[in-house]
Amino acid sequence: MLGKLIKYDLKSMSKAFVPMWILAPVIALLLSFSIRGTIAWANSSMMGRMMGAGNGILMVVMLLLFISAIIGLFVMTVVFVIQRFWNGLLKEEGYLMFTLPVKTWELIVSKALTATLISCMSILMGIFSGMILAVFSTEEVVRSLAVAWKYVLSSMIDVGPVFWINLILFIMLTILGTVGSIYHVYAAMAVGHLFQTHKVVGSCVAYIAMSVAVSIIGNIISTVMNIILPDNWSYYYWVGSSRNDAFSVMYLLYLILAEILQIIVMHVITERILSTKLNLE
Amino acid sequence: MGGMLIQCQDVWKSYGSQRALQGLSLQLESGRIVGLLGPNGSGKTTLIKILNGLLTPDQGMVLIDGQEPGTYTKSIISYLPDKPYFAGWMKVSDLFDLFEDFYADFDREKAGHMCKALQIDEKLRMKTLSKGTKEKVQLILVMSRRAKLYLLDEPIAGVDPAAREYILTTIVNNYNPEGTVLISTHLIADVERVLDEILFIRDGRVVRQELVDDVREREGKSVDELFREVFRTVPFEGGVW
Repeated sequence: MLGKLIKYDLKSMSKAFVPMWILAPVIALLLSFSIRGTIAWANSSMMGRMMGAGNGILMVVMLLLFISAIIGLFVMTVVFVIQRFWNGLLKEEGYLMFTLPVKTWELIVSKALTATLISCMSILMGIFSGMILAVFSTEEVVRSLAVAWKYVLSSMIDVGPVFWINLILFIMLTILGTVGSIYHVYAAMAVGHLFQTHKVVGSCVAYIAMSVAVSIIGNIISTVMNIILPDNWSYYYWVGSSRNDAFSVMYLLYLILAEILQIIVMHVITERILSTKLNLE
Repeated sequence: MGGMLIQCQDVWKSYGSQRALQGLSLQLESGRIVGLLGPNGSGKTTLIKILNGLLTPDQGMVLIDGQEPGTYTKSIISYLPDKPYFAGWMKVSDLFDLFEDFYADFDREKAGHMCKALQIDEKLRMKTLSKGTKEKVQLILVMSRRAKLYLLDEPIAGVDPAAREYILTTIVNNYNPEGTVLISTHLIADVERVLDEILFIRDGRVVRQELVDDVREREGKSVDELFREVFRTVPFEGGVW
């Protein structure tokens, strides 16, 4: 049943996102061409420089378009994550979802997985658009990128397995961090839903309260760790030293564990509230 | 108690300080068309939402086919809400797909036939449909299931008399005869002809439960007349019937 739910959630979200994912790189491409054009004109004759001024205006317009597309993409992602949960489960559409013969946790997990996928995809498309802009705008950028890429390739041979483990752990942490942020918003909305009136205000207050709680708990844990561990046992202390390998892996593992714990707690809060206190008035 | 499709025992529900159900108790058997009748604000919608799990009661026991509201009960209940619950992006056919995916008792072919009979294009998006057509689509979805329990919340409230006739006929012709249909409404004269049993609800309690034939035989009245009498002259009858 979870698979079927994900299918419908993906369908509903992709309707709005696919055009944005296509639009951002296309605008990046157009912008890079207009940058190229402006530079080319500026380096040519007097007449060319006048033409270049016109092209410059076009470039500014494209730049503004590009910036709005990127900002739009991220704002839309955040709004959609919130809206698909709020409208999809806690408003009228919830009548349909909560009368389907599925478990509450399946409804939540389906929403969370889809939202994570959409968020990661938006981030990737943002990065991709930036890369397109860089690669196509000027020869200089292309050349320096080529140099940098060569350097990366040559240094990859030297980095050894720890680098790759760290990279994989870091990517995992980023994805889990995204899941965690999504669940944080979900749990806040579930708590807000308990309020008789002012549910939106309640959700915002719950969000802030949970953030404070998470940071207090995080601080307590790190303080305790500082007391238990020796003084020089610090991530930054070891960075660049030969002994940092094991530490960086451990540190990333610790962060991943903390993130997973947070996700579990937020999921349980959301699931319990929607299972035992559901009130779709 | 055995063999009862719905059993509610001392169910309480409030919204803040406003009490919606106050110790409601009832039992309903299978194979009936039951009118859940009461004035506005008497607790009809609240009771229906508790039965299908959209609301959690503050107190009391609710069993449907012997089980508390959950995945099983949702699989045997076909619910017509009092307002449309669709996502605007969905086409009529998307909704049919969804119902087919999640409800084993959904008859896709029947839904298609009903759509054709009503001249509704399955390719249309929900947000482009008129209010009346949306309600028809919702009715098609609900009545194309072979459910054990149909919960129909005010199915005829917002429509003209001709459409009322059509909706009631659709319900009577399409429900699963082994199941029970619970129709909530305050338009008693319109539904009276299809009902087997009546439940009068007032201030969150069942004040009367009777077979329609008994009402006619014993009291020599129509349900509509009885309703007017009960809700005009008897302000309060306690939690029993």
